[in-house]
Amino acid sequence: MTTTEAKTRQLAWVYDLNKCIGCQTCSVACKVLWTRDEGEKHQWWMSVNTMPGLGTPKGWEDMGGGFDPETGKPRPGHQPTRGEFGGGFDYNYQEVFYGGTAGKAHLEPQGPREGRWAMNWDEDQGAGEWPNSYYFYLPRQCNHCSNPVCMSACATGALSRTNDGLVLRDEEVCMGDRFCMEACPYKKIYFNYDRHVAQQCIGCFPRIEAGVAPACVRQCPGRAVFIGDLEDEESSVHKLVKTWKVAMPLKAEAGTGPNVYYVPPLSPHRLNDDMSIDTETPRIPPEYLESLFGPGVHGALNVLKGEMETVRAGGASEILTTLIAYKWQELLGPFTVDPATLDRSNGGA
Amino acid sequence: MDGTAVQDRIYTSARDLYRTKWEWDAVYWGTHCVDCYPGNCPMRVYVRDGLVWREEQSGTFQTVEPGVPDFNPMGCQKGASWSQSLYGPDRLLYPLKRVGERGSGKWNRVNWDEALSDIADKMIDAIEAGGPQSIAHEGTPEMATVIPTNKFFSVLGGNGLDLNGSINDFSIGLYETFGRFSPVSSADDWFHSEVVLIWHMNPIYTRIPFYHFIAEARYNGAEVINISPDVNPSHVHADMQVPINGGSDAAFGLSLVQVILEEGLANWKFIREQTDLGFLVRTDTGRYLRQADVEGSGPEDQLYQWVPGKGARKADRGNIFLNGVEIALEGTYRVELADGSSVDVRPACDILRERLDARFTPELQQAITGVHPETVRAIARKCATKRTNIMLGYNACKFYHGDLMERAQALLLAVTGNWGKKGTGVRCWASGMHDGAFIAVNKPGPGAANTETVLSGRDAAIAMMKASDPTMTTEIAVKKLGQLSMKFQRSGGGPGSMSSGGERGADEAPNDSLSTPPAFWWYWQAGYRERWNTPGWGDESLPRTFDEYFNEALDKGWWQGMDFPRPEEPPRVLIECGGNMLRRTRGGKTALLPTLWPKLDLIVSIDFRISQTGLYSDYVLPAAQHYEKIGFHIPTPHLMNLTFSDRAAKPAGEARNEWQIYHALFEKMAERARERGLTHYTDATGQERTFAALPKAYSMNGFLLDEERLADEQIRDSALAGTLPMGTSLRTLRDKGHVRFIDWGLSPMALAQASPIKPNETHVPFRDHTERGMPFPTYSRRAQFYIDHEWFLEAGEELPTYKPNPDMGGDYPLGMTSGHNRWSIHAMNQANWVILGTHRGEPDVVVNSDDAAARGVKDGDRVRVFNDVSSFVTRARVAPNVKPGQLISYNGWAGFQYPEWSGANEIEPGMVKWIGFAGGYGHLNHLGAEWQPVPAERWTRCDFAREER
Amino acid sequence: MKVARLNGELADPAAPAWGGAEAVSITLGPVPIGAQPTAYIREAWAGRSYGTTGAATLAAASDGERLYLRLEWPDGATPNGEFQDAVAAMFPAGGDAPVATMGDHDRPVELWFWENGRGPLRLTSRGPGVVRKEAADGVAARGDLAGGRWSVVLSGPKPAAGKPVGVAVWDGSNDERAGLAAVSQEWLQLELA
Repeated sequence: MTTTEAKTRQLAWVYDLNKCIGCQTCSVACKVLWTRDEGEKHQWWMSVNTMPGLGTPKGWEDMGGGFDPETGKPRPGHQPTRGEFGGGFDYNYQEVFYGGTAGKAHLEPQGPREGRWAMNWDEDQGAGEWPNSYYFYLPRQCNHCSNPVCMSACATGALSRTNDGLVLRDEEVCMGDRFCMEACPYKKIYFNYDRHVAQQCIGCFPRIEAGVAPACVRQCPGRAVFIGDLEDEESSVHKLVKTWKVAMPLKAEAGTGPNVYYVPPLSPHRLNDDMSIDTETPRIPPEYLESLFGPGVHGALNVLKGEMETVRAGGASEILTTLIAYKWQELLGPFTVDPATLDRSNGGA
Repeated sequence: MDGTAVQDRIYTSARDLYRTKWEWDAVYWGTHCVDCYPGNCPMRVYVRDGLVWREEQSGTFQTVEPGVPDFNPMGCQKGASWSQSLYGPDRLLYPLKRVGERGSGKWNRVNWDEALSDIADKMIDAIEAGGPQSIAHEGTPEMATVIPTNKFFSVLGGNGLDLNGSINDFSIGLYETFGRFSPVSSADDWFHSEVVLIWHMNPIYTRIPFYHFIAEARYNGAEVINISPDVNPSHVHADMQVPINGGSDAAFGLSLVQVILEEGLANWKFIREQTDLGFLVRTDTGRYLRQADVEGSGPEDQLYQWVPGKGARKADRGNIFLNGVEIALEGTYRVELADGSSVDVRPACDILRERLDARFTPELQQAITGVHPETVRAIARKCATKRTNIMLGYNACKFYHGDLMERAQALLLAVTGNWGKKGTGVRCWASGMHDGAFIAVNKPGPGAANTETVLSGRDAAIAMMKASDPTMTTEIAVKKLGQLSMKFQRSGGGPGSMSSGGERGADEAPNDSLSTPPAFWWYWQAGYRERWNTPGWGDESLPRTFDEYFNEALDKGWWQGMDFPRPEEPPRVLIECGGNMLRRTRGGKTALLPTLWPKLDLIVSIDFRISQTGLYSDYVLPAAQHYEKIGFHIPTPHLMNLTFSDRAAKPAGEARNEWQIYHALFEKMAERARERGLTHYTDATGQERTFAALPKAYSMNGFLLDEERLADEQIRDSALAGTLPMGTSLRTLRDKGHVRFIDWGLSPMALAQASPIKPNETHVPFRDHTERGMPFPTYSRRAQFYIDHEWFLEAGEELPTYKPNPDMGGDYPLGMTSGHNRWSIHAMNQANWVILGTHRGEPDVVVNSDDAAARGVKDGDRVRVFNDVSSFVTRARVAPNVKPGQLISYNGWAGFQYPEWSGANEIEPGMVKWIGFAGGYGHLNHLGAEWQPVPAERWTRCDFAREER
Repeated sequence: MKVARLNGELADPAAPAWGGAEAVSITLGPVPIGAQPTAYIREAWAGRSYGTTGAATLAAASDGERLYLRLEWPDGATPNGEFQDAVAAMFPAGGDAPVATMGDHDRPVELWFWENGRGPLRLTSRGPGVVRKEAADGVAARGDLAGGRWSVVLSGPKPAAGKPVGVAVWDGSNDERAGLAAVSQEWLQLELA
């Protein structure tokens, strides 16, 4: 049933977590572009969470899905509920501004407060104890996996991979059965309760087709995300992932072959009890990072630290030069077209 | 039918669904001109069916300096969703008239004519009763609002409250040191830094478009050190987190300096030339040795240095370079005075070192700051040997003793030679450069010839000023002219406005308004006198009460011409155009509603939304937003570009741009005055103004109402003034969206940069000082660390020192801190439905887990935060990263997001540090946006408790 | 079973006219786990019970123009908001389609489908949950919940001749959807009056 176009390249994203500042510009750019219609208010195909945290949907890391590393079989997963995604609140604008309440009503989300959650609910809370508390920002989108468990879980064949290696859904075919949502280990598929279809990141394929980088990449003010063809050995994404191995996927053990990668976060030194600096111990526990990015994270952090030492000592580093991306367009891979120069008065047709 | 073929067909159509979502009819330039600073993000605004559909960063900057990352793609989540405010549920579409009590939230929709008729009548009433100076505004820095509003008040003769005095983004300690508070590197210059001290700033929240330069500097070898009580978001990409006790930063900074001096790591040549630390101080009086002391007469501000083997020599006021002369920084010397006596003198540096050694060694500072001594030493050594950049936000300045913190920071830079070269310095905010924006609306009439008249008038005024003192720089001359204008604004006789060239013709209307520091408004009109005199809330170490200092300042005439409105001349009308006094003012409704509001016969809010102030106004009038009018962002040295915002769509509903609103109001005033048989009125300086002339004077015979023509003249006038390349016009800007400035122009904050603009280099301020020996605009003409003003001596603040934060608000266990949040520009995006989805969607305070547990409070609980001033109700966000004893209320929530519409500013007493009333001393004289008393609220004492609903 | 010839508001499951129609109880059973279309579904539901609705009552009527099928079954627990109770009438769409697996790859069945809160759909099913939306072609539905029982009328153009019908019921509170249904174990022949 499933159609898979002949694949000619594999698009991949690399998020540099040493540049991401959790500003949500990617999230907002995506939302304003794609998810403003009915049933989409609570959908954030792109989202950024403070880690450690429960994130979005609430507790997604413990919801299962993916493939069992032992047996290779799909692993049962929890279908995240509307409440676990949260958000999409309605507000009492009319009542506050025009309702004559004289302060009795203030602008607030409507509905029960107990158990409320939202896309970025646990922002900047983190873990640990002052002064050694720690956190960092993790942007997440559909991983456009090479072995997409969502696609294989779907009963109606609504999902397929394009020749760019994007996993896309045919919303005409989707019956809203949500096995994809259960099976996805990243829980980045949303359900449209009005249109009764599941929806997720479309990789901005209309932009890709026009040579324009996805909104999350092109609009990232932190210059924290690269896109490119992972199979192109000259691409930044290939070098960071394959050559230098400083970027790795999230929870690769789920076995879905994600194509979103992360340069793992460095962190400030810890403090000893007497408030002196402990130069030996990073603030973010390495085992925590390993739980997210796998054992390769230690080597990646060592490479980064080594390169930074080199540069501080006056040396040069191709890796850091790449991560700096002196020219913004270096982040965009082959998708450097300025959308404002396009005629899209009729869908570009 | 073959199944796969069907699949392909449907699949293609589903893809078309998204292809057709990404469609537009037209693209315009846009940026967000609503007091977003530094802002200036060039966006493309995509329009569909005549409505703004969405916006996206343009990404159109070229590399400035080879080897430095470019500025792309400047923007943030607020900018990327501003279209959702434009047509959002909180957008104001029609004029509204209050029908219930103020703040009742009951409105009638009225038409423009009805609204303006009533407003015009009440304004005429106010003029009749108290003159035009009884009509006041506070406003917002948004250019598209400032210029038409200022023009309105100039033509009217009204009173403008100094905006920077009420906002308080005024780095008073930098001002006390440098004679200006506004050094600002271009953001790309941060890339050159080797040490980045994030210190009273949270750039991960507040510099979203520019933060990447810090991350990239780190990859380029810089070490990033984050200094804050809480493990704040900017620690995330730091190499070192320095937890510091709230409000103790001056002690930490002075200890860094102590180490550097003690270990001999200082840049002594830099100290000798750039600072006053080599100037001689009398040991008997603590005052500088002056020419009058030595010679019996002469300029009061002629000070001395000591040349070993040669004796005292007059410090050069025209150039700070020593040209190889080695002046003393330590020792005690005997100087003969004109009266035949002699006195011991010491270089200020010698006194400084004695005090640092006595109080601020790393071991001694630890008791104050909580910072480990070895951490101090490690950082001090780094700063002494590397290009060091202090990322200072507008946070230290909001502490009661914030000036002491900033003076310590400036001192650290001074002893390490860290200004005037790339990758160094400290920052506040600055604007300027787009001189044409102001020239075009104040010149005698349209056209280049009129511009040339203004420009030559400006040059002549400066030349006249300089002629009185050949050592004067252009910057000093401009500031002196401004200071004199302030002093004589109520009496006439000043040197006149620099921008209104030429004599006024007989048929022309006067074109000047009053500008007053808001401190006097608060003291006399808003009940703050009692708060400022409350024992314990201010500096307890002072020998006299607040009122004694206040009265002395007035008696000495330090605020002549500016100490208004006095109790006997109450304000009668408040027009807030883009401003939001009730949210901004420390004290909020608690302070203003019982005191100020009853005096006001009319409150008008001109805005694109109903703000907190709008809710308590009599009228709210809908203004066009950016994307709906032609405008420019406030230019800033951060970017060095003029950024253009076009009219992409018609104003929503019945909204109008400010020029149209004010012009229609003047027309209505002229009409109503005629009907009432009134012809003219007298302004505060005794000049007569004619009602009938107001509309034409305002619009310059219609010229200013033509958006296209006005914008074109503003751009061309900047080109004529030399700040934009010749040939720049509305047409070229519409093509490119932004253009880099080529010169500073003559606004004080731009001149304060004191560096050449080079086309292929990043900007770093103060190169004129380090490369050319240009003097500073201070009393001593140096970066001044020893301020021998009588009050500073009385307070023991002649040198940078540390003083504990007073118990503002009472004796409570927690200190409330703040800072801009991530999600809004002040209150402006708070009701945007997209932004509300990026956080909890309601205000909260962030508290430490242990502090919460001790009060039985869990994350998300409703809490009441209280002190002796008042209280407010919000939610608790519980986080281990907050320092125990700290409570963070991020700034920017709208009052109407809290129960009873009472936000965190309700518990802020709005203290001002008495020393801001000092004057009559070199740079300690008021000029718009500069030296004045400013409110402090950081580390207000408070507590919180669970609040059942 | 006979399709009664009746007049009245047959689209309304509470219409008195339905009192004149024969009602038969149809035994339902879960679609076999081995027949579920994807490995994920088989893995995830191998240990979970589904298709728990044991029987439904079917009545059939026609006003001469349309065929009305009234289905009634006991409501399960309150749904969690994610999945809703649903019902379908199934008809072979060519060949001897198996009813207990909702057709198969080569022998599809046609579904008149109703879900609580969602309009009627006409679907082609080629196995449990392997469905595709088709043009509505006059299919309509209306459901009522009363006294702890669902009653739903599905209707469509009256067929030219009698044909087999099957039933599928989904209990939303048990996350049942797609092939996770209780279905007729054999076709029931409808005889037009």
